[in-house]
Amino acid sequence: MSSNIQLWAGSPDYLQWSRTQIMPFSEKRVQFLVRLSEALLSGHYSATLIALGFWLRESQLRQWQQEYAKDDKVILAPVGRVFIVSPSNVEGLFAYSWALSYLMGNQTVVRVSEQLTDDQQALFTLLESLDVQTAGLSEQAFISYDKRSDWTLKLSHWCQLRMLWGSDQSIESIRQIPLLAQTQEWVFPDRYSVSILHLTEADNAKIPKLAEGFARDVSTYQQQACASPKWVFWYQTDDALQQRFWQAVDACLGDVFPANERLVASQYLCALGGTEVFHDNIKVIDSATVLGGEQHLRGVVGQSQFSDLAMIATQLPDHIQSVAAFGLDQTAKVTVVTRSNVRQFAQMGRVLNFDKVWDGIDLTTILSKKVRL
Amino acid sequence: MSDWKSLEVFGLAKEDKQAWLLDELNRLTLHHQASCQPYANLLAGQGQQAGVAESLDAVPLVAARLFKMLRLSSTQPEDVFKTLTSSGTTSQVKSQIVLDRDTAALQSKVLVSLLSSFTGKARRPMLIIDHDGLTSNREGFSARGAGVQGLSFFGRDHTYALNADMTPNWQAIDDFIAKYSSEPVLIFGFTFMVWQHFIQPLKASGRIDQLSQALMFHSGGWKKLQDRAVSNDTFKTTVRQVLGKDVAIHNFYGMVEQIGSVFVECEQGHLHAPSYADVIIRDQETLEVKKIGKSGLIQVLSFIPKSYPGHSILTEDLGRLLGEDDCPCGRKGRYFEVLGRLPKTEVRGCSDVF
Ligand SMILES: [Zn+2]
Repeated sequence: MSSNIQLWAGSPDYLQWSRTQIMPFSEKRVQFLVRLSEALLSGHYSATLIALGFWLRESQLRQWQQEYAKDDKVILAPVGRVFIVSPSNVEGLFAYSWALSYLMGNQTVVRVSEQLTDDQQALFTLLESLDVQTAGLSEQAFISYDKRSDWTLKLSHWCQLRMLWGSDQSIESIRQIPLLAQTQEWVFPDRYSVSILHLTEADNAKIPKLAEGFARDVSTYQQQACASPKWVFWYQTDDALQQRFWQAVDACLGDVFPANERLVASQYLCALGGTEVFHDNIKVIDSATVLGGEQHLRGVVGQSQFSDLAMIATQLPDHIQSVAAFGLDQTAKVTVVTRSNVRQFAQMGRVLNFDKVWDGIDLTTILSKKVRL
Repeated sequence: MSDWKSLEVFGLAKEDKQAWLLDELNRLTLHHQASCQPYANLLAGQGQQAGVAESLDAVPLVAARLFKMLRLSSTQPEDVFKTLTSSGTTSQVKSQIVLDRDTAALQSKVLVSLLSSFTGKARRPMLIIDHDGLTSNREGFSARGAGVQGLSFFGRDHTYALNADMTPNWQAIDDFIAKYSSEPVLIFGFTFMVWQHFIQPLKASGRIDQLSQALMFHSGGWKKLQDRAVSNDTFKTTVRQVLGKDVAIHNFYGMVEQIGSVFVECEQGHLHAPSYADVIIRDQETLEVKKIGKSGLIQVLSFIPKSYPGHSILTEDLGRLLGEDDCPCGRKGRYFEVLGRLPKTEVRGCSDVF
C-alpha cells in the first residue's frame, strides 16, 4: 500500500535525498523564509497565515541567529532528516514546526491529513510558487497519504527525528510504529490550559484591556485550542472585580459562540456539579475543582476561587500546558511551576502566539545538534 | 399513572393540551431531579426550579447532545431493560438512552395508538425496508432497530425486503406481492433506504403498481435525499408511480433521545404533534420562543420518558412552526416542518482529524 501519496509542495524524491552540507541559519534558507513572510504579510491571507508571516519576519529570524552565534564552544548543526506529523485542524502548527526544522538546515517531510483546509491550500500554493522561483524547497516535502498505508512506517525508518503533533489517540497510534534505536522522537499531545488572575482595585483601569486579550485567547479562529484557557483561577480577587472582568469579556465576544454550543457546554459542566454564574456571550461556570477537561467545550469557561497559589497549582491537571497569567510575579510563578506540570506562561491575549519555545521545549534546540568543540 | 389513554390522539386544542401536558412534564421534572443526580445538578447549576413551570416553554430543557456526553439515567442499574443508541458512523459518539420496562412499554403503547390513528385498528401485512439482523441485539440496540421493532406491533407477517448487503431480497418481495397485492399493507423504512434500496430497484426491474393499497411510513431525515435533489414531493410522486397512485405516504419525525414522541406527516404534508407531545421552536441565537411562521431550533416535549430525563429536549434540528389547532386536515395541536440540521460547527481544538 505505497500508493496514493499526495505531494502538496516541495520535492517528491525524499526517500532518495542525499546528505547535504546546509547549516542552521544558512543564508539561502533565511532568505526563503523572509520571502515567505513578506508574501504572507502583503497578500490577502487569513489571520492565521498573517500571524505566521509576522512570526517569520526577518528581524525575528536574525534575532534567533544571534542567540546561537555567540557560543564558541559548540558548532550548531542540523539533525538531518526530520519527519513531522501534524493535525489538520490547527493549521499553524505544521508550518511553524516545519519553518524551524527548515531554518535549522534539516531535510523535512511534513505529513498533513488528506483533507486540506483553505489555509493549508493557500500556504501550499504560495510555497510552490516560491519554490519555482528559488528552488528553496528541494529538500522539503509536504505530503498526505492514507493513514492505513505503510508510509508512516517507511518515513519513520527514513527519519532521524520524528515529531508528532496531535491528540493522545493519534500519537499513541503512530507510536505503535517503532523507531530505530538511533532515531529521536518528540511528541506534542493534547494539553489543557488555564488562566490565573490576580486583580486588585489598582488594576481596575486595566480590566478592559485584559478582558479583550482573554476574549481573543478563547475565541481566536473561534476555537479553543490547547493553549486557550478553559478555566480561570481567581487568586485573591474580589467578586466585584471578577464581575467587571466578565462583563468586559462579554462585551468583546458578540455572538462568537453559537447559542446551542454555549448551552451544551454550560449544561455539561452544571451536570458535573458546576454553577452557572454568568450567562451571556460566554457562560461562566463556578466550581471548586476543574470540571470537564476531557471534552471540547465552546463558549464556556470555568472558574474557581483561591487565596493560596500553592492550592491552585495542585488543582492543575497533569496535561496542563499554558497559564495565561496576570498579577503573578516571578516568585508566584515559581510556586506554580514547582507544584504542577505547567509548561508555559503567557500574557493575556497572547496564549495562542507560537513561540519557538513551546510546551516547555526549545524547538530550535531539538531540531539541531550542538557539536561540542 | 397518567390518563393518556382517554385522550384523542389529535384531539386536544391548545388550552386542554397545555393543562394536561404541563402537569405531566412538571411531575417528570421533579421525578428526574430526585432520581438522576447529573440532571439535579444541571437544574441547580442553572438556577432552575423543578415542577413549577407555568407554561410549556418554561419547562427546563436538556440539550440533545448531552445524551452523547453523559449517561443520564433515572433508572436503577438493575431495572435497566435496554439501552438505545443513536445510529451513526463508528467514529461518532452515540447517544445513550436508558429504558426500563415501564417506559419501553408505555412508548410502544403510545406509538400504537398514534400510528393506528392513521392505519386503523386492523393489523396489516408489513413489509420492512431493511434486513432482519437489526433487532437481535439488545445491548446497544440501535435506533434503527428500535424503530423497526416499535412499528412492527402494527403489522403481521413481517417481511424484510432487503438482504444484509442492502440489495433487494427479491424472493421475499415477490412472495409478499403475490400474497398481498390487493390488500391494505403497511410498508416501513428509513427514508433514504426506501428510496435507494426499494423504490429505485422496483422501478428498474419493472415491478410497477404491485402494492396499490399500501400505507407507507418513513423517517430518518432528508439529508441524503437532498444531496440527490429529491424533495418530499418528488419522493411521494415517485413512490406512487412505482407502488400505486393511491398509496398513502407519511413521513414522520422523531429522535432516539425522545423515542416514542413521533410527529407524523398529515395529508397536507405537515408534521403534527399528537396530544402526548409537543414542539416549540426556539431562536438559534437567543433560544427564545418563536411564533408561528418562524423557524429555529426544534424543542420536543413528551410525557413518556420516565427512565431518563428526556421529557424536554432541545434538538439540533431546525424547523418552522406552521400553525396550531387549525390544519386543514382537521387535527388539533401544533404542526410544523423540519428544515434540516444545525450546521455542524467544526470542532477545532488540539484534538485532531488525521
Ligand atoms: Zn394536518
